[in-house]
Amino acid sequence: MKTTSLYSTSGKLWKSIALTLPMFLLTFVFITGGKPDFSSSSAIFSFVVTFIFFNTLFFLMLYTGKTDRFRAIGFIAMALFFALVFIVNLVKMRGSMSFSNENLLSCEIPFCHIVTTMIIIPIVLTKSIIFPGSILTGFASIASMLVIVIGISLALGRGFCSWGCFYGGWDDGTSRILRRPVIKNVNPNWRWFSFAFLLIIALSAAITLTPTYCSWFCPFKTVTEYEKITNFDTLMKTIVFVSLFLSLVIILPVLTRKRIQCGTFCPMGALMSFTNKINPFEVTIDKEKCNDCKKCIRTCPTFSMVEPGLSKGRPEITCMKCGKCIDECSQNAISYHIRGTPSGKAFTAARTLFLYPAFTLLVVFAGGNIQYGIVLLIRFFSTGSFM
Amino acid sequence: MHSSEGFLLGLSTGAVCLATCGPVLIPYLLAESNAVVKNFLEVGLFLSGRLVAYVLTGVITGIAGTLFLQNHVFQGFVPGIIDVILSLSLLAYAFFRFRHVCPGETSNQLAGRLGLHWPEAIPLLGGFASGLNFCPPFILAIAQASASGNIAGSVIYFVAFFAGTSLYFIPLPFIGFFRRKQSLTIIGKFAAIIAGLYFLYKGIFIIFH
Amino acid sequence: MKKTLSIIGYIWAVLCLLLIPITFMGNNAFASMLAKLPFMKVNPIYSGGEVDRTVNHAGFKTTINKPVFEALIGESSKGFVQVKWTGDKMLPPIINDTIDYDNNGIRDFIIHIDTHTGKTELTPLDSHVLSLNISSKVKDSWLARINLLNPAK
Repeated sequence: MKTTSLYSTSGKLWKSIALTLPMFLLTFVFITGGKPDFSSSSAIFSFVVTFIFFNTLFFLMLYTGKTDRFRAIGFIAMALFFALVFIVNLVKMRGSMSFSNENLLSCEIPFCHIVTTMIIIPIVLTKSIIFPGSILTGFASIASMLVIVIGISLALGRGFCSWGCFYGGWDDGTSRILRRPVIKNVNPNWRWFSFAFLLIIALSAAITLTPTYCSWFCPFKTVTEYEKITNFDTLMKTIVFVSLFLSLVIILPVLTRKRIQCGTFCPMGALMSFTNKINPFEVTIDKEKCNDCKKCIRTCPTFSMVEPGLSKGRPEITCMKCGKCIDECSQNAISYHIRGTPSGKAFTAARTLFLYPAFTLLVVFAGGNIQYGIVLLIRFFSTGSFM
Repeated sequence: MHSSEGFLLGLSTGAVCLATCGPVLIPYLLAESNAVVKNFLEVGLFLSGRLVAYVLTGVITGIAGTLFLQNHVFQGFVPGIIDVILSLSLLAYAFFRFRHVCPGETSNQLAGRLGLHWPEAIPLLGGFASGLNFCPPFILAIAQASASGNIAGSVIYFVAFFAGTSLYFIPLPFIGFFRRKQSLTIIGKFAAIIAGLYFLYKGIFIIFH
Repeated sequence: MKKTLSIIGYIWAVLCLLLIPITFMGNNAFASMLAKLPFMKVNPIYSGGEVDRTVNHAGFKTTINKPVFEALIGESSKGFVQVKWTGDKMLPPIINDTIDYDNNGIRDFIIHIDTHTGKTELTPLDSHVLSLNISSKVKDSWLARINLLNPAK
């Protein structure tokens, strides 16, 4: 069947360039943090590369009408560079990736967004935060991260998981390694596991007043920081972290071509799903255009496209707005949509209005890390050391 | 910590309780009234019935625990064994399909007759009967509560278990919420698996210590 | 009605478009405002609790915090007390201190710390003092937490 592109217009090239211009300004501001550092040739080089990298991705999104294809490149790069920069910084500051009793007792542990799932009940009942971090000072303070979580939730809902989460790029990347899945027909009900896990994590954290996910279950401890191995308990924890990372972030995503960690395990993802209901951007399916090929169901990396969803005309609450189903739909039946606006109209306007905040979020989290990561790589290849 | 565990167990299995007993309560709520306030009252009576059943079970379990768990051998070993067996049954409960029948259904006929004279008795009796649903989570709660070795501890455990399971009934007066019953059931079963694994770990830990 | 909803939808979308840059550019200001809310404080289990009093010695001072018996609801039957030693210029090589953590005039435990090796010995003098929880150098000070039984439980 012949299909027409939603985005083909005669002045597409110039329109795409014109729409990319505001992103020039945004990327400049957020990559440099408002204070450009052109003190060395490697700093200038890394800035130029990062600047061109992001603006090219954004331009290509607009010009080709494909979202996920270019989003994924930036998103995966963010995860890899974040880990590199984070680890190098830790080694510089502490001498190792592990944190010590001194760091714990000084409340110097960076607050990650996933901790949000565990502090809600204790905030209500104890009027305090159960995390050994700093409220306002230092890197990734609690107040600063909470402001970011609230802001992103209101603006993009669970879009955060595909555009802003600095861990998500790991299984997004590994799920793309094979062209075809080895394990097919994974039951989509697994997406509800993260909700059950959220329930248990939130309650166990409240009962023990300990961030249990961070203490026992976070796969990304493997590529960030972890408790120093000093006894059997910390050894067990490390084994759990590495096992979960290997299974949920590497092996299963490779075999299933699904984002297993993000789609079935992450409690923050489950919590963010609820925020999908309080922001204007959603993905909708035009039932009249849909030819029921079910490619979107097979393609969706988070089990959010299911048959009942197709008949309802929208994916499940767990949709991360990555745009993969939109890219893959040969009928152009799936599109970004703004709540309240008429369905089946103004696709390009809705998509463009979504892409600006979503891509800005990607630039904010990824820009600085990629820029500094390039400096580190240059240093490594020229001196043999990251330090 | 003991009562916290009861609450946690109740929460991990409460969705299944709701899915099992909801079909008894919901048609009643739909048939009786559309007003949210009235529905809250009905759900309150239903939960009161369940609380009575749980407190009664707690007392009986406490007495049994006092009789059998005074012995040091029993104290150190039996709770661990019971934890393991019943956590396995909790896992089986989550993994395999059973036909869940809410005991409240069987009380409907009696309630129908009683309702003519005392309408409040219907949700109260339904709640009491559903509270005595001998499903694996309930049996696991019995095992846990008996480990406290005293009547007060056992009753507190069951009250906490009741609180955990009852949270799922709070949205019930807003009947529309219940359309997502299937996903709630799946979430509940997954939570039961996680709780089952925790109790299995705890049971093994007790046995080997 | 449809047109009104449509306009509201687009306005909402534009506001969200602005919200992302605003969230990050104004992060410091928003975070400062959020930090003023009453619940924005680190739980005593992690912060070590409020300072109760400071005792001065020759060359160093001892800061004793209020005992922490945190629980989700009410108080826990077990907790800890945090004690910190800070040198006037530098930490003494050996800290030997007797602590009355509840300030009732009766000594509760003796603690002996070798600040070079970190070796710490605790001698409980009160039945509510259980064991050493943690003993570590923290910046210019030495900090120890001692496990306690809650006398109120």
